Amino acid sequence: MNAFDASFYDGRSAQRRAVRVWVVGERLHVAGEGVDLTVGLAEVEVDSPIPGAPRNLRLPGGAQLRADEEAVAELFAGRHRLESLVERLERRWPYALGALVLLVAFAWWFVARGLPLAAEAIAAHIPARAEAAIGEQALAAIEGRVCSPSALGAAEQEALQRNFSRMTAGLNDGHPYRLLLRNCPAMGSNAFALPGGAIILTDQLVRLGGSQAGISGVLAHEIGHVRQRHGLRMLLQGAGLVALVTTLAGDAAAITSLAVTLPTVLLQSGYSREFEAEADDFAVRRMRQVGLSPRAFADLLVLIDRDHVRGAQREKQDYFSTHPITAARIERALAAETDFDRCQARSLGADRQLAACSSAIASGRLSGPELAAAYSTRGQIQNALGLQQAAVEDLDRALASGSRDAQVYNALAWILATSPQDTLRNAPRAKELALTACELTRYQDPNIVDTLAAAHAEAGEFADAVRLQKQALESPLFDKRFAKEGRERLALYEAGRPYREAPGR
Amino acid sequence: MTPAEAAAAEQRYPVEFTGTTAQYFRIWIVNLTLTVLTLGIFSAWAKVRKRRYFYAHTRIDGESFEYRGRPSAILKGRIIAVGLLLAIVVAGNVYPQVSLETLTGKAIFFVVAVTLGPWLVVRSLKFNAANTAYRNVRLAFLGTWKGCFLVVIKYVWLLFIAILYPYFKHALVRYAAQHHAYGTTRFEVADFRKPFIHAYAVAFGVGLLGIIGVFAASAALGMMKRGEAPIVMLVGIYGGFLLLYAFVRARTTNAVWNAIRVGPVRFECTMRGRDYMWIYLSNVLAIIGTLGLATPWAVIRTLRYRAARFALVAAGPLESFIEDQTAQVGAAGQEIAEVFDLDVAL
Repeated sequence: MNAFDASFYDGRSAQRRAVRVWVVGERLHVAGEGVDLTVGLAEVEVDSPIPGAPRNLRLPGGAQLRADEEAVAELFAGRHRLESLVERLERRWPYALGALVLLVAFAWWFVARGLPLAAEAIAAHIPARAEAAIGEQALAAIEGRVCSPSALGAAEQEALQRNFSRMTAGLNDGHPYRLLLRNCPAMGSNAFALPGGAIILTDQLVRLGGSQAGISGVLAHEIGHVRQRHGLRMLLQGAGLVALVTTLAGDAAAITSLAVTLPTVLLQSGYSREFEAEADDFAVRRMRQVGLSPRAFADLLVLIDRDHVRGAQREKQDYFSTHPITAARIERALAAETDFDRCQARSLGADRQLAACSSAIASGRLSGPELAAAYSTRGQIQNALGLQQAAVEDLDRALASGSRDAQVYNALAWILATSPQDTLRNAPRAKELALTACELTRYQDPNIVDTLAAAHAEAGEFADAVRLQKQALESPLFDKRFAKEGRERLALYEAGRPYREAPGR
Repeated sequence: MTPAEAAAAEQRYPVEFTGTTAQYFRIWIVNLTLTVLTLGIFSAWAKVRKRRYFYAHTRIDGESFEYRGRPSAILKGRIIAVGLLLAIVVAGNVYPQVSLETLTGKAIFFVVAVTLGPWLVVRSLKFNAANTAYRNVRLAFLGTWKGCFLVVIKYVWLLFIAILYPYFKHALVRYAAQHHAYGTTRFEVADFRKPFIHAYAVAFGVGLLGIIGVFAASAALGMMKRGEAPIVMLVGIYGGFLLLYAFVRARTTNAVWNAIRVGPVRFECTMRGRDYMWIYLSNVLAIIGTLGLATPWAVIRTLRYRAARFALVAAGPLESFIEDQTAQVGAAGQEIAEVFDLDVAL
């Protein structure tokens, strides 16, 4: 027979009575100091076990027994199965330490993978109208306070809008993209996307002097943010992080609010970096689609970074320097560059550009306009290096590949008209090529007219040469650096002599 | 009986706290892990298990307290709280005209807070009281939504002048204390306004001096110019706020409990401001330094300190008084918990 000691409280007063309890089959018999009762085991309510605490048995009618956990554990083994299991975990160190390891692993997974995945899935189900409303609110917070309408000229604004239309053309992803040009002195050179499709480009960034292609890259980056709903996902992930960190802090949250805020902010900036990288990847892909080189984007990033570093130094806030992060972004953009991109990149230097063109051509993957551009670039660099024979071959190939670039016609015509090598000169062809170049530019480029004059002189038609040379020299667009040479050429033609480049130049 | 004789007949019953850091650490980590793994659903069970641990290890006269809150009720309360929070955030984002930054939004928030706030406070106090038992006799909170609402309406204007906040808080705490009962014995609450307000006044005064001091020191060291001042000042102000908060907690807790009388029982609460400040400060440093692992240690030592500074004083043996005082408790208390099955952590 099973029996144990307990305290008895009748529920009508706070009096405690020591009793002895006998378990007889499915019944409990309680007896002691004025107590003598029998209850069915099924009628007894028992609470779940807690480490180091007695168990409370509630009897019908409001009375209660309190007994040691060990005494009644077996009797109520079938009740509170889940919490009994939890209590067994709570009692032993190996389980507690196992829980700690599991917690750290899960928290890491949740922050690195689970939360971003969940945010993406939820964002996909939030209606575009709600997303746009969030964007509108953010915009309202900026308009007038931080930003005013753009101070750029109408023509420049129009060019930027055209650039933007080109970058969004054919995306068909349901986002109502629009470009807002704003003057935001407090933000400096910046561009950002709001949920719902509004993209803001500051005058300060436009004025940095980056190329149109670079601006296209920045716009594509912002389009990438909108397309991948980064604004909304950031909001959701932020909320998830707050929930996680608050849960983890739990008991401590009330007294360590700073300790809760700090990790949230740090983790969030990690998400922000991931989104930037995703948007950069999209920008590079999109630039490639519309035929631009990612180098232009990287070049503009360098300009923006320099501008921000200057700004930070002015404000003496250099402890949150963005420099290393931007350096990594630039590297990534450049890693996406192909040999062809490098072939077209003027800033790279002649040697590396020449090598890139050669390997791009040798790869056999180029065709059409790209092949023509690679040949023409290599030809013009070779010409500048004095390798006229090779330059003529490449420029010829560029034309054979369908190039309609006036500069290619012009460069080839110039060599054929003025080369010191007798075998290379070909007056009729030089004239024909120079004429095409002039027609392509409607005789508006005096340097090309200069070439046509040289071709006429080589053909012995000095009257035409003198007339054309004078026309070229009178143009305000004539390159002043060559003004002296141009006048010398005119004197030669007037004396009835053609012009020859100095050998070995 | 002369006062001297009465004092001689008085008996002191200290509060013992028998929880240990090792035990609580294991409970804490197991429940925290289960909470996180179940995306928060287990948090209701975790809260109940932790609270039951604290109650079961708090003893007076060899008898421990008992917490009877049901996790399902707490889960319900938390779902409601999360729903409310989401509604506020979504409403503010989708309908900017009612966001808290606009006047309309502020007005709506004020009306909702003044009406819904007292309701939530009363519900929670009822829930917690009805689920706290000592010797199988429950506490009860007899306040009503209407009563609490009237107190709020009467004093809420004080909130518009930050420095008068203590008077508002005093009115609320007083209302809460006066409407508690152990079994059928109502709490009698003497006037505790003076020490209560005094605690805040000291904190405000020291805080003001501290802020001036931090500004003066950073200006003197020339940190303003070097741009380092904001970080140093932030840490200084946060630390100062924490210390003053601890001070106020200690002093106001003393003030309230020393004014309460339940039948022939009164309380002696002698927490010291400086002890509590040190406990809070060292807790925060330890928790940050251990990336949160010291949390159970911090919780247990705080509870242990509070218990050590708390005692019951009864005019005669506790046992006999309690038997008399609560003899008429009916089954009415039983239903209270069922009807008010809702706990919203505020």
